[in-house]
Amino acid sequence: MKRVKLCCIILIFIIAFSAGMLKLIDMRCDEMLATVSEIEVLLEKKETARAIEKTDELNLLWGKYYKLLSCLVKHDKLSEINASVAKIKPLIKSENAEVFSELKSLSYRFSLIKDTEFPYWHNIL
Amino acid sequence: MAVIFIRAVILYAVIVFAVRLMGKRQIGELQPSELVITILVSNIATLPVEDPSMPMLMGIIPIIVLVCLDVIMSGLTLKCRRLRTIVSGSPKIIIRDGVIDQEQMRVLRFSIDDLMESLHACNIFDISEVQFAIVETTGKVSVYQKQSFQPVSAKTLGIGIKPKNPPFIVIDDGILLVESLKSINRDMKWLEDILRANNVSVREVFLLSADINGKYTLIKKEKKKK
Repeated sequence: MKRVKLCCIILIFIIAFSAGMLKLIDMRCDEMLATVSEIEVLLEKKETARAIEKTDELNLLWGKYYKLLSCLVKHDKLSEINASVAKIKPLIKSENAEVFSELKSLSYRFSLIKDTEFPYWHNIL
Repeated sequence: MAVIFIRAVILYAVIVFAVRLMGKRQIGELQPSELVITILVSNIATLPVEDPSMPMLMGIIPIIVLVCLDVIMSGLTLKCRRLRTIVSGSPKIIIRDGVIDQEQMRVLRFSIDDLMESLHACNIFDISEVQFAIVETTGKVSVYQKQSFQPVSAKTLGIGIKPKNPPFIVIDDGILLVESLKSINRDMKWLEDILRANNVSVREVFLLSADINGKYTLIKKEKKKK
């Protein structure tokens, strides 16, 4: 019975850990999504200097969250985001219109992480 | 390369822990649910080692969850006989008083070759010698021979024999096992006397086994050949 109790405790811990990690992924992705949309707004207002500052902030944030997310999410999903994040600053500097599509794809990828990690029926089945 | 190496070491530790958690029963005999767990665990464990882009947790968590569920399930089946029948099935009698239950054999998809093979393993070559043959939930066949074919024992001859424990290993390759000394109700003085009588130290003994009556067998270590 000692073993059964130990297993129950481990299962409860794993459930709590999974729930905590889901919350963390949700928070981090929301934070990144908010920063991306702020950059978009600044670019629409033609405030390039502030948009570059925000992009630096995005890079910093991503650097911080990448390590955490790589323990929880498949690395190939993250490397796509890595490539997108790296492209944004040079695109803003060169005033390339492609920056908007890159920001859109970045937002989409963050939403996709949230969507695929949550235990929705379509993910389970 | 280093990542794969560390992952393999971690997974090894996790699987050893998981198998220990399942208990000794797992190693010797497999119930249907345990067989499923063993196959699944061995497959899941290879995934994070093969694919470095997969987080380790994706391998560790399912292994631990599967093993925990299996242990909890076996705990529940201990309490509930009905659940045990659902999960593990029930033993089935296939030979009764030397007669094969053909219907049961068909239900179990058990061929005559399978049956004979199991009987041969028990040193039985004639079905008429069998009183009962039972297919256990693990698939193993247990055979109970008819009284007239059973080997003669002291009890059948009416000879009274005192129960006797087998000898315990007291020194194993130069290492003294204190627990064994206690089990045979002997103390260090007894051991020292034996060692002195044989002119050896504990380190020089390869094996010393002794029973509760103090009867012992001592094998000295052989010197290494140059």
